[in-house]
Amino acid sequence: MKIKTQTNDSDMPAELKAEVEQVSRQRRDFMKVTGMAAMAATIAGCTADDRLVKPLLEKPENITPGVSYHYASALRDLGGSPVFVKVRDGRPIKIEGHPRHPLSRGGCSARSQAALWDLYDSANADSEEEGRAGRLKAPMKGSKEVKWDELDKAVAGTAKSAVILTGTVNGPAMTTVLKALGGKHVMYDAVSASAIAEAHGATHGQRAVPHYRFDRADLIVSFDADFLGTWVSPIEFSKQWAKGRDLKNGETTMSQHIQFEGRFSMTGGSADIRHRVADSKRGAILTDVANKLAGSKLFGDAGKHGQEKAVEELVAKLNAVKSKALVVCGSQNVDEQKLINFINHQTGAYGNTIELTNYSQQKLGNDKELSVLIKDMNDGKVSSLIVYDCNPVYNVPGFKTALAKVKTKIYVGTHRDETAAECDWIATDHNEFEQWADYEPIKGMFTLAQPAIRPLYKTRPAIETFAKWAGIEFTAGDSKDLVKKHWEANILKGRSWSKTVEAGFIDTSGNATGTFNWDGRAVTSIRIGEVKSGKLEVVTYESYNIGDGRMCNNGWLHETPDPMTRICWTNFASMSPATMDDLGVETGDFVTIKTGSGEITVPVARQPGATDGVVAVGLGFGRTHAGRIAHGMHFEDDAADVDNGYKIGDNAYNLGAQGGAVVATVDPTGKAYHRLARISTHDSQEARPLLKSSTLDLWKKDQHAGNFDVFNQPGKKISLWNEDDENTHGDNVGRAWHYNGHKWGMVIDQNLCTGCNACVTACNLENNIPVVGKDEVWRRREMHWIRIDTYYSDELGEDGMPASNGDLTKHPDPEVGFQPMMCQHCENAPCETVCPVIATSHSDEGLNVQAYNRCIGTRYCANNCPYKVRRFNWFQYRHDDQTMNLSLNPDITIRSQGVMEKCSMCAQRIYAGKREAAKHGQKVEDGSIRVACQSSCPTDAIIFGDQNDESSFIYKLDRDKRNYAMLAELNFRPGVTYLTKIRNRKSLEHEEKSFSTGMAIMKLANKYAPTMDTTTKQGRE
Amino acid sequence: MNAKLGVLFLVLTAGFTMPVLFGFGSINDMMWPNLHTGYQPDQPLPFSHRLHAGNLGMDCEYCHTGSDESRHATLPNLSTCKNCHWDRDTGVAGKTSDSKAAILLIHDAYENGGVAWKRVHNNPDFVYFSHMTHTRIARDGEGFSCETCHGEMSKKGVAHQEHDLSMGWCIDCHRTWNEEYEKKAVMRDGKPIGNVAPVNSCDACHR
Repeated sequence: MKIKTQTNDSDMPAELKAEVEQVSRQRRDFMKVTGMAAMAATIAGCTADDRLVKPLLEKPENITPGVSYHYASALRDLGGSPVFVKVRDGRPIKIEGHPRHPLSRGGCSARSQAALWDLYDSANADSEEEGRAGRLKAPMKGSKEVKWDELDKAVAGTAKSAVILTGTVNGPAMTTVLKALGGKHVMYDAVSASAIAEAHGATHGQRAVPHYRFDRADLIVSFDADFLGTWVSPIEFSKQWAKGRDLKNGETTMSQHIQFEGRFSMTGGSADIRHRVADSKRGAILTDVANKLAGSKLFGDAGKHGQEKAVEELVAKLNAVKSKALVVCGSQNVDEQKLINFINHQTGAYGNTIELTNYSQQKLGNDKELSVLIKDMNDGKVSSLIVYDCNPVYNVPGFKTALAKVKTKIYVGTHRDETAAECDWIATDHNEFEQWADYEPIKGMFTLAQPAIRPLYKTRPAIETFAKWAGIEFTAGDSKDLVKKHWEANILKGRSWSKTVEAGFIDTSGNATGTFNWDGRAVTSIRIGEVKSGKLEVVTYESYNIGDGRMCNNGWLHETPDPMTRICWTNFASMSPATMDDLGVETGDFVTIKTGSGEITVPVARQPGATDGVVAVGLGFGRTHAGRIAHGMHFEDDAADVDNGYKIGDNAYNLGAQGGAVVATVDPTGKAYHRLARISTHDSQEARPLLKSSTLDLWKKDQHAGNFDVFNQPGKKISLWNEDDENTHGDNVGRAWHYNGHKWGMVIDQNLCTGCNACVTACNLENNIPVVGKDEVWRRREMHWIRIDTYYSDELGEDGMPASNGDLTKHPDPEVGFQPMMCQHCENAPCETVCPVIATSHSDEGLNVQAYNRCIGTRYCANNCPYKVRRFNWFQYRHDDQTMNLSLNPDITIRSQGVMEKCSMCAQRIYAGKREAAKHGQKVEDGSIRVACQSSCPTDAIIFGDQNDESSFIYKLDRDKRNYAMLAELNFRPGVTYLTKIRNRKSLEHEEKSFSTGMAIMKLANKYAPTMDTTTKQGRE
Repeated sequence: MNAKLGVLFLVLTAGFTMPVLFGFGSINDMMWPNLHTGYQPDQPLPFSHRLHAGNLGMDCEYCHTGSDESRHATLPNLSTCKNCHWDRDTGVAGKTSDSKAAILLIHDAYENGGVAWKRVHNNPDFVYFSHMTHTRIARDGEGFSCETCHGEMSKKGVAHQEHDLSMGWCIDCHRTWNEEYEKKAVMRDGKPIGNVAPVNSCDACHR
């Protein structure tokens, strides 16, 4: 099925339309349609159709058409995500992480990057079908558009006394304006961290989520905290975590990461040691740890929890590293969090790996205040309510009935979502790319957001709306005025405004001081929960891509798979294979999960390594008023989809499990989703050395550990080619490539890859990769140029071979490795030789290039590629929605139906970098060209560079003993190589065995072929 | 025998149907592609390159400001015209009534939201040509003069396409200069810098 799109010519404002017309004519690559028309004319024998170019009347200062500019800004995700917005000809086309901001350091989450979708989401607002509308284009009264004057007049009176319900608002200017409005302000987070703040209020007298420093920790222990994926500040934490685990710069050791968890999270996948613990047992384990650290049964008897040995080892380690340990917990149980505080206090982590002076404000929600508000609403005590930047009808069970009792309901937001649909007035907000805003994600770390595009519609920024209702004086239509005035008076303190805007932030968080007294009495022993046998417990978690549901209408994110199960376009109940056997279900079968709070129906997903008896469901799906994507990408003929009302997944907030695991009954419905869309379906490596791994101990003995592959050793290999022949230009036969100038290549550090998918989204946006929809993904026709393969370790049989069940692992407690896979840019590329029209060929700089205009779509190349990274355009995708097209990168061709495509190693960025250097008569500096996936990676696991440049980092990494080429035995000589994954845990028996065998082979090899210097580049010379 | 007949049949069929389908010009175009050399559309404003660049000796970059910064040479904003022709009646105006009328047209267009020029040089969508690369970086930073590709604009009235802009035409020049560079090898710090030689790989223009 092709994506359903509407041509929204009529919806587009006149100015924008004119601009689009002008831009599209001016830059011919923008509208393929025009190009096709011109070509048709050519074939018809006429001269070229007249194409028009309409320059602007006045040239904007410092802006040249065709040149991209980057602006420092911030997005609302995670309480202020610092970004660079790449703007071309007045429209944002790509989001990068802010390279200097401490919360980003260049890393950028998939969600932040995909936020562009919401800006250009143009579906008709007055669509007849309820809930499928896109961005609202004007203020609304119910479902009718009104003028701003009318809305202001009607609302101004009530707004002042209204209760304000928002998500986390931490911007200093915004907070001040909301305060001026006068009403009570309640904040809540759909996925809350309220318990952590609560616990610190009790034990330290500071009700706040602290600022964690994973980079300072030698021992990281996490109890169900998915800190690399979604917890509090994942991008910042990933950067910090990676700092302690990098082995590329001569480090001799790395931090150890231990995870205790029920479901199998992405963070658990990256952990060195992972213990499977049902959420209901967490209390007992924490009690045990705290008792052992205290040296007495201070917190009561922990009872039997099945992890006695793990706890003993953990306590010994904590005692050994002391203040270099960091223990975090994702629980929403305040008592458990207090125990965590006790453990961290006992090790001395406060002040070292945990900072309380400059605490986090990324999650300011207060669950208690929310429940008080709902009670008040139900009691009729709230007569008017303003809802801003949150969607409580969707994600707070029971809110809808309470809302009905409020007399005046005002919604401030961009979409007519579930909450907006229940409200009387909608004061339509600008998109976040269109307005000034400010954030303070960490106390004292002031971050500024500036507009990157002129407003597309007749909307008004929220801060202006509130200021107007509050009667604050400011220049009408200028939200900058409000932000700037506040910053000049309170934050800048003599600093230049324009320089601050340029930098995007002011960091004064280091100046914070304060002492916090430990109050041990606040920590109490906890009631240890127990699940009756025969019952399952269900946990809900923030989905990795969609998040809390705010971005449920985002095609890019829906098509990006869940890192653990690789399922996309739905949420699912993941459970261990043993649990599935007990229930008698298979992957794709629908089950109904019932809890005391509600029920949902979702497909089952097999999750090896999940704790038996724990069922995990992702939040953020099943929205009814999200937009056309959330409704349009289904299987038209699948009964399961029809029954589901064409929602994507189901709303797991209904289970009421946000506060912690709840007991549930899980019943198979008898229906199945046999066409579950998955990006890859293979769990196991089946004993092939694809994702090589070893342990820190063995690596210390010899850095070749895990990488003794004979095929990676230098020496003559059998080749189809006469490799002594000189390369002749344009001739694909007989060659020995020698590169006079650059030789581009990439190294991927598998030790750092967390599987977060930021690179996948970065690539999608940079390279105009279409969203193909659920049906097409199921047919294995996804278009992603980069994918992350998730491999589970297998149980080994007597013979040392895996006991895998075909492509599925049998291991009850497997380890996971993530492997980004894109075009390997082979020197002896198998795709090049089979192309009948030489549409794919080798470039002078080591890239395997694809000329789309030459491709005739035989798909021989994809068939011959052992890495399976080539993608075929089965349809003419998308590109009839003109507003959505504004997000396209004009430096990349928009591929047509019938054309093969694949990773180009961001050729456009390489050429731009070369041009920039040449302009100044310099050689390309190492690191000056950053390809899209590398640039967004929050752990810097992807390194790109010139393999010919001896001073480059990649030159060094190519000679690292951990370096290996994928499927080296085929002698394709890839330009992309990988670094062995090193785990910081005790070596397993088979690892020891293969290490000693490898050492022996190495010794022999050196004896009989002394020229084999194992320290030089493997498999390349 | 049969095969030969088949081929003959195909050729004849094509010979008869193609002119009907695509017009009689198509065969001519396919066999001898002139690719619009000499294309000179009528423009909405009677602008003369001969007068401005020739007689008055103005720099190309005065109007085509993007030519050494961007992929696009860019067309001048009407405000640029008004730098000289600032007054619709008494500014730098032509001596003849025709040229006076032309200046009035500029002002009219400015008030009516601009002027849509007809594009003279039309590369297909899948060709990524950068003016900046050729004007500023090529030839080790010397760049090519505009005349190399556009002909002597200072001697033309209305702009027209000088060369055929075919891939063969591009590659010809790329190959010549590539050989030059191989002989010369542009060095910095004793190493070839490798980023000024013209690239002959597909991805230089197609990505």
